[in-house]
Amino acid sequence: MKIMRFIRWTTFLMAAAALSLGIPRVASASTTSSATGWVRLAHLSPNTPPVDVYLYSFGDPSAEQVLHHVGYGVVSAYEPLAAGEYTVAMRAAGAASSTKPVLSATLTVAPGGAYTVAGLGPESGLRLEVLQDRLTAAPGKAEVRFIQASLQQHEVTVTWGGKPTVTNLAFGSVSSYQAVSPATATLRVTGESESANSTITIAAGTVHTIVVLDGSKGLVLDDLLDAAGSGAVPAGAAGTGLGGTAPRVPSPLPWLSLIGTGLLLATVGGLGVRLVPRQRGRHAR
Amino acid sequence: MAGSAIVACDPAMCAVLHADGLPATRLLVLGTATADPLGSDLVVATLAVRNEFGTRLQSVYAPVVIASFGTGAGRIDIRAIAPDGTAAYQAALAADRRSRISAGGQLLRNPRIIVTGGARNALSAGDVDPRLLMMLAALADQQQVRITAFGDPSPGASPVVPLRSVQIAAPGPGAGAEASLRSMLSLIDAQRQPFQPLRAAVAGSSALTVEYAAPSPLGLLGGP
Repeated sequence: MKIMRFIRWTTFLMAAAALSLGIPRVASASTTSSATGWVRLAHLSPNTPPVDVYLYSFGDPSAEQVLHHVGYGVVSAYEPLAAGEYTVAMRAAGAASSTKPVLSATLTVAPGGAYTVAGLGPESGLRLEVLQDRLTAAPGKAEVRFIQASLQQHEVTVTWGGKPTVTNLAFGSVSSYQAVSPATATLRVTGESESANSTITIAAGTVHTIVVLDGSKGLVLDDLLDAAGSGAVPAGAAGTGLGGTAPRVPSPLPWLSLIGTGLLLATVGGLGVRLVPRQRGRHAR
Repeated sequence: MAGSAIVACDPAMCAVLHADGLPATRLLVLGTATADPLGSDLVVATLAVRNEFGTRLQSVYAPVVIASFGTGAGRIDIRAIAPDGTAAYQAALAADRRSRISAGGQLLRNPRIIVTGGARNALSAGDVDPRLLMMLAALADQQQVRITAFGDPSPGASPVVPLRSVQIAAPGPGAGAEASLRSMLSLIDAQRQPFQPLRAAVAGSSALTVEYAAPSPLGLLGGP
């Protein structure tokens, strides 16, 4: 059973990479090249313990990333990664340095592509899923999708401005993006026994992922801004930006800077998260 | 063979496999009660099975031979089942090869991976099992990896079947060579399915061999 739990950790954690709760951060488009993609990680398995996550580049050992102590509800900001293939591995947070990381998935980063690596489902059925994130919306529209990460409510129905948007979204599943008209309106999520409301502004040209989470006092909604801008992919062109991936926190360790800022962290209970760019020989293996 | 694979076979062959230790729950006995091998992962194509399904065995159910033993009427082919049909399977095979070519090319650019001639060709041609590719990337994060050869432990496999084994040489002479190989082995031994190999061992102080079970999974790598 310990082995199975560890495997599940691996899977779910994968999301690990970076995390920060819902506050899309941003790597500067100007510092990235056309051979760069964007990756964020999300731990969305409510009953799975925290993990450390590693991204091993196939072609460039210096491109490795490691993310420590990723807990439930943590969604990292986007982090630029060189395009290419990565092996995603995990081990239990705080495991001895002699513990070997367990491989869990691969991530293919295409130039200009954006991805969310999410650990989904219950601990007993944990899976690591690579979600292709959308960076553009149709003119005059916005795009919204939903991730159902509440184990307490097996299915939820979402209304936006009083209109049904997603119905019976099962735990551990992800809706497709759908175009919506820009507005400031009430987002309501209703499960079998709980519901939650949040007033959210969705501007034209933006792309959002709304995550439904279990909080200490019921459902919690986390609004992730995937992209907010002209819709141009982050290829380095000035002025277009990646929206959510555009730099809002001028730090070389943007993920780190997000720690403690997320709604989830506050709600879920102060998960300690740190993400550091890989520096060879400085972390336990 | 992969640890959870379901095997379709004629009654006589299934009896032999069961006697050899394959659980009955992993056997799909072909015959009057089972119209086709769909629902299994592999089919053991004995003469009886070939006679029962004819050309449909290859054209509909299981287009690729992953291993073959014997000759003539006594030949036994191990075929991978195409659950969604031959066309879908062939398309998945082609997509997987493209992914393996891309991934292999990236490994060849990794300064921590040293590859000899034949193995280099295998990587660049997309001939290497995706589980090995992923494992090599992780190993190279730990230390330098010297790949001397890839191999396919399955006789008679179709050319489209990836190579499922690798031989890794010690990074250099001296007392640290075996320790280096054993460090790699410990990482490999820590893995779980589908990354847990069928066999992995250090031979003396000179080489580490790793072999994954058949069939190689499709779609493990992302697209290029």
